[in-house]
Order: sequence, then structure tokens, then C-alpha cells
Amino acid sequence: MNIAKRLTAAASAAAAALLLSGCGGNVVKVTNDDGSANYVMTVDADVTELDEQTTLYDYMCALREAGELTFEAELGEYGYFIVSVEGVENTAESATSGYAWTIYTDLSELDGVIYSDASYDTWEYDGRQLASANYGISGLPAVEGYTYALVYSHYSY
Amino acid sequence: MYINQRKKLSAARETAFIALTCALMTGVQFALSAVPGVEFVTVILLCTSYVFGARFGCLTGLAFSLLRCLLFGFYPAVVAVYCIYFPLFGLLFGTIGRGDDGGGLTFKLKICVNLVLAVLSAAAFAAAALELVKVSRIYRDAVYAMLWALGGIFTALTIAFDAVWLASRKKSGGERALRCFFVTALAALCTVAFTLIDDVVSPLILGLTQRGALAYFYASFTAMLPQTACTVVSVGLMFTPLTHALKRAL
Repeated sequence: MNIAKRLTAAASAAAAALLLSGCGGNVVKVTNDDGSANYVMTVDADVTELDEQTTLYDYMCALREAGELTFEAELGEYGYFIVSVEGVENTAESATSGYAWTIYTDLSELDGVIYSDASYDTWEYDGRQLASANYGISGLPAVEGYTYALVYSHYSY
Repeated sequence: MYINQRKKLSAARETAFIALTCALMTGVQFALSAVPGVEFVTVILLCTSYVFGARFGCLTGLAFSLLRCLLFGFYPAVVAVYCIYFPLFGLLFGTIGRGDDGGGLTFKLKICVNLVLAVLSAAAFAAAALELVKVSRIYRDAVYAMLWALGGIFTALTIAFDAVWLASRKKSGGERALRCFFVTALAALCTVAFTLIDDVVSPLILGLTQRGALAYFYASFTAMLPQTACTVVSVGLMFTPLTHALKRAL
């Protein structure tokens, strides 16, 4: 009986883990209430060598090379911006509304520089509040231990 | 023959020129939208306003601010900043152009140019030396290099302006070059003002906190510095030939 319970518990845990980590060990897939998928990364030096100039874009490229994340980004006036993640593309509903990939992080302030602020927007993850980033993926440093979320958000003006 | 001695544009020609200028500005902005910091909207609006007048500049600035949204989206903060800045920019340079009688700058204006250039170079050098810009560490080296470079450009402009001023006192000529310096300095100041207007308007519309607005202000330097350098180079090089060509259209 105990063995059966343990086996059931282990199977449930494995299923939950599979649901959460859809892309690999370093990327956690989180599904919103509306069914859209978001992807959360906590920067780890095991994925790629990190230095002062390593950007979130560099880190995401390393994850892509490792087969843990699929994304496309384009170079714009303010650096790279995300076009699609796991095949889901930015979508415009009209000239003033649509869905776009946005970055949330708990990297709030480092060395006197503000990288995100709750007044922009917030997103809950694992009981924590991540704030909308002040820079794009090629302007944000990938700092070990900090969490970055790619959130498929609805926008309207 | 100078601008204020010429006939005004007829209403039909003015409307056509406004449409043409708007199309040119929008096309150029769209074509260069992927190139960081490079823009020719400023020099086009400046030169056309300078030649065709304040009303032309104001209407073109406003029409461009609204029409560009068809390509770039209707972001309220951006629309507000554009609708404030570009009509005023056109109005300013249209007024200055109408005052251009072919004579030299007044002594007060020459002093003003010196002051503007000195303030801009001092601000750039001070921001670089005192590390006042708290920007992402990814951009830090580039931003400080640009600040030093901009300080150098403004210092060089000041020296060149004063050298031409001194030379023109000894022998005739050089007044058109001085006017070009004056317009370039003012355009650089306006480009800085554009970002500062955005730093006030956008946080207000987006409802940012003081901390969020401060972060927005610092991040805006990554766009402002290359845009200012581009304005100095493009206006400095293109003002004289472009206004000369446009005058022929009158």
C-alpha cells in the first residue's frame, strides 16, 4: 500500500514537472489562465559562460543551442526584440492592440542601474512578483541567480 | 534674392509640398528605422520649414506626426510627444528662415550660438566624467564613449564657429557658414529637447512612478546620443545645399 502511494506520488510529481518544464531543465513553461504559455529562466553559469557583457539575448541563444528554448528575434532600432517563442508569434489585433512577448524579471536594480520597475507592469511567478523590464533582450544583462520570464502579454493603447 | 523677398507659396502648391515632404519624411524614417540613431527627418523638416516658412513647418510637423502612426502604430505617448515637438520644431525653423535676409547673424545671436555649444559640450563632458548616466552595463561603455565624442564635436563646432566669426570680421564672406553653424547648434539643442520632452510626457501617460521615470530617463540616453550626433552631422552637411535647392522651388 505504501509502495503504491509512493509510486502514485512519484508519478504525479513527474507529470507536474513535465507540465512545468516543457522545454528543458533550465526553462520552465508556465501556462496562464487564458491558456497562453510563458517561459521562465533563472540564469545559471552552467548554461553558458557569463561575464559583465553577457546579455539575456546571449543567454537565450545558448539555451537555443542546447535545444532548451526555441525563439526568433529581430534587430530593431533599440536592439533585438523577440518575434516568436516556441512558434508563437507576436500578433497585432489592430493598430492599437495585440499580443507581444515581453520580459519580466526580478533583476530590479544593480550597481545603481534600474533594470525593471513595478510601475511598468508586474507578473506573478512562484509567489514572487517580477517587474516589466526597462530594456530589451539585448540590453538586459544575464546575471546569475536572477529570473527572467518571457510572457505573452496582451497590449492595448 | 533671399527667402523673405520671394513670393509666398500658393495654397495649392503649399498643400502639395506639405504632402510631398510628409511622404519623404515618413519614407525616410521607415527606411532607416532599423538603423540605430540614424535619422534624416530632422534635416528634411528643418530645411523645408526654413525655406517655406513657419506655417508650412508647423502643418508639416503635425501631419507627419499623425501619418507616421499608420506605419509605426498609435502609441499615445509617442503620438503626444511627436505632436508637441515636430510642429514646434517646424514653427521655430520656419520663423528663423523667414528672418534670413541674407545678412549676417546679429552679435547677440553669435553669442547665443557660443553659449548653446558651450552648454552642450560642458553637459556631455560632465555627464561622461562624473558618470552621471546610470544606464544598463551592456550599453555603459558605448554611452560614455558617445558622451565624450559629442563633447568633442560640440567643442570643435564652437572653435570652428569662432574661427569663422573672427575671419569674417577681417574680410567679407563666411556669414552663410555662420548661419549654418547657428542652425546646426539649434537643431542639436532641439534633438536633446525632444528626448527630454519624451522623458516627461511618456512617464506621465504611462503612469510611471518616480523611480520608473528615472529609469526611463537614463535608458533614453542610448537613443538620444546617436540621434544628436546624427543631427549635427546631417544638418551641418546638408543645410546649405538643401536649402539652396529648395529655394529654387519657390
